[in-house]
Amino acid sequence: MNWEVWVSRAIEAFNGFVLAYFLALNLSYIGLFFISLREVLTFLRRTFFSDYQQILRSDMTLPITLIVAARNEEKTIVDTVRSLQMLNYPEFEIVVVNDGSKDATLERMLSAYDLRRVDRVYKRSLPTRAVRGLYASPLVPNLTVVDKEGGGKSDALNCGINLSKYPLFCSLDADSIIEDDALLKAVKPFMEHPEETVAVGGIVRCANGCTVTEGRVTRIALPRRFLPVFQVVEYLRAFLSGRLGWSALHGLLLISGAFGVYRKSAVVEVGGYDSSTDTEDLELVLALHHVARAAKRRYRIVFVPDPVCWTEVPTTWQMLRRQRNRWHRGMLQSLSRHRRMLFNPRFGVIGMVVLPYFLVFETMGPFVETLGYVSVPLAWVLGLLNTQFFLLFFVLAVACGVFLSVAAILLEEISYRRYPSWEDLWKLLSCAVLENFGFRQLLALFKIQAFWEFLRGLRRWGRLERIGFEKAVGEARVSAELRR
Amino acid sequence: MTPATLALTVRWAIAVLGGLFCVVLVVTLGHKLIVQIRSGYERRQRAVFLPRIQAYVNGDNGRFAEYVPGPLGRWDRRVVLWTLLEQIRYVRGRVQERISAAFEDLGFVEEELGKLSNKRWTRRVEGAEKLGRMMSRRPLPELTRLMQDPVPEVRIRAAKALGAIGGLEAVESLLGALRDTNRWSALRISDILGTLGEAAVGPLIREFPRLPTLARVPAIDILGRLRSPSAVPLLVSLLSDPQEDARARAAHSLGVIGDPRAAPDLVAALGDPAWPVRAMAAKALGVLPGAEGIAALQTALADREWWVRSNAAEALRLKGEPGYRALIALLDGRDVYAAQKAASMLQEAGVFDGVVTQLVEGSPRERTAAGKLLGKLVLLQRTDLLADVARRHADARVRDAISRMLDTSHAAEA
Repeated sequence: MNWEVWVSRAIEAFNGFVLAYFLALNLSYIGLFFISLREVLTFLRRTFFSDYQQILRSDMTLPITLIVAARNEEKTIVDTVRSLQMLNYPEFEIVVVNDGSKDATLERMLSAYDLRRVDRVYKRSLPTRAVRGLYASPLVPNLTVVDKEGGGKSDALNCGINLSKYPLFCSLDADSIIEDDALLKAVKPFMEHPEETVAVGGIVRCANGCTVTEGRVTRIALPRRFLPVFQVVEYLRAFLSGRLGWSALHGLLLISGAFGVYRKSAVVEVGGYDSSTDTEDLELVLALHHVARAAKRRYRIVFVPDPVCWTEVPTTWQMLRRQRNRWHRGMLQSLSRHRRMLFNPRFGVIGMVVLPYFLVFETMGPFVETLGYVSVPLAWVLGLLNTQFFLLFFVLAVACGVFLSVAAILLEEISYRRYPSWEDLWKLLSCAVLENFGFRQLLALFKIQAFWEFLRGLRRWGRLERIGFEKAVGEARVSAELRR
Repeated sequence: MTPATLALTVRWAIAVLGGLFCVVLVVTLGHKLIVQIRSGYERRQRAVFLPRIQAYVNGDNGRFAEYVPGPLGRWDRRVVLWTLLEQIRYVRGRVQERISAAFEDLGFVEEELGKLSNKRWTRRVEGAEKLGRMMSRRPLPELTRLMQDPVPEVRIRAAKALGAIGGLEAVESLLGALRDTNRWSALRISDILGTLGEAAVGPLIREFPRLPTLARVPAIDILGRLRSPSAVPLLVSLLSDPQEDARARAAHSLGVIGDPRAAPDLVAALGDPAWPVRAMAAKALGVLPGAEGIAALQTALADREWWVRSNAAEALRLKGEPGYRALIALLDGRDVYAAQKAASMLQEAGVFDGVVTQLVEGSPRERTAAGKLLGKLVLLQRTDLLADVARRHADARVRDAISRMLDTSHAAEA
């Protein structure tokens, strides 16, 4: 048997594997979609007569500390704090941690809120870099600003946890805006199952293209450019069709760092945020699962699709590459750290379903996908694959991608309808098709690069350049004018 | 697998997926279309019905049908129902009765009563919620029965409806529901009881001795939230209850009520063997009017438990001037923690802001007193605030005076 036969057999075998892998992956996505659909419908029925106003009025509502980790956020920090002050919630405090900013983040806060230096006695439950000063405001009594040496986001959040005085805390990004009722909605699982709930995640939506006035999203619209719209579709798929499904299976692995509410005691028990990985949010949730499952404790980590946090998404390919690179590298680091749970029945659905899924589909996926892009056309060129099959496979691949995105848009339409105009709906639907020709393939390449960096032990934050909300307003105005 | 089978598999996959895709796309577009058509129609109809509904609501007599002639179609009934539900939220008395009568006339009460026995719990929830908003007294027996529903969410909505409609029978069934074993329902129900006002106090005090252990703590909280002085004797007696939680919550509730009669008993509770009781008693003393308990709070600043010390310091701060004097007296005490905590409290209360100004603007006696007080801060090594003042105070004389004080202290240290 000559080498040509070996090569052709190898390509055939690999293509068979690609097809099987592809079918398994998409069947799992479709399965998750149907679980999410059921969850959304149940959630809507349950919250049809929302009693959030009662939670607002109740003395028994658990108070929350909002922790905002800020590093070089001079453009957005004051707007962010202003939006937090306007939240509908009976009792909360805001702790802004200035994590060694090199810009005027602290100065902006000092002047905006007439902050004064204070000394406060607090318990250092978690080790952090040195605190340089604490500031309080006579204008806003529930605001504390901590100035500390730079130690990264995890360190800043841990510092905020040390200073928080309430049993729950909410971690927020300094460039994010949460909706007025978001905390009321996020705290409900803690009130319903007070002994078991340790963490609740909300949905993160793309703020690009929206109009932001005084720290509030006042007009929702899609961004003008395609790249952020692709991400809008991707976020809908990830949150409404992915996380909701995993949450229903008690296997939620990620609560976005942009908005999550946690029980402080549980987080302190696992040692707080870990700065040794690139994605502190994923690492924390995995650690919570790990500790609770190892101790055979009843616990709940849930995703609630209603509380909304708006955040800026990357507007250039370079920024997107850096962001995705970090996310994927962080995931690999966390999977590697918690590998003891993998295929371990002691860790239940996390060990036997969720982590294997992440290993097989999220880690290997980019490689199989990219090699598939090479081997399938190669097989066709070499005559190992007939044209009809090649075209059928191509149609199937695109159809799967489009179906999953349109399904996520359906979930959005039947539930929250944040994008009310027909124009936005058409734009979302067209991006659900277009993202399959370039965007997804690039994401796979970014992940492969992240894998390589993970193997080399590289670590970097991959900072996202913020345009700031004022500019976002400007962009929204421009897009409105263009439409006119 | 042969290539032909593979191709067939892929064809089937495409066909199934294509079918699903078409369904999803049609549902997405169809749903949006229907929602827009319906909301547009409802908006127009609402504009038509609203003046007639308001005329009926504000009218002295006449039935609803005279103002809004029927028969109403399904969508129109929905518009009328929601407009009336919206109107009833903001009115009381006769106007409210007229809206309730309209719900009866249009058969909405009957319709929702039917939902209370529906197999789907979400329908029962919907029925209870709407009946509560309609404020008709007719469904009280059915809502009371619904308090035994196996689904906690249904029980909560029934309780909410009973609470909204009110009346003695509602209070009694809500008190019974405090025995609910589901913590969320118990919390929500006690919340609802807390909104009933004075009407709930008497029955709650009478029922209290018969409540099971689990229900006692929420009941004590409700007594506090109702803020009725008639609950003070019961709460004071609960300060010596064998159950630690009950004692702690009783102390908390006494603070919420804020009746100064409770002060001597709260002072005594500062000696309780359980620290949560001491912590709550300290907190409660802070919000009671008058200077009673200041000496006891000063002593509590040396408690072995951090929370008690912290609450005692906070309580002294809340007492205002007499509390500040007590805190100042603690600055040069032997207990380092108490001195540090007192300094923190005084700083947060803004006491030092005035003292700093007195350093240059006060009479000679005031200047000496201010110098002494700030000197105590320096001795406690709490110089952050002073350093900040030395850098940023608007008055150059103040900046100089504080800088001199800090320099002297550094020189002495050196």
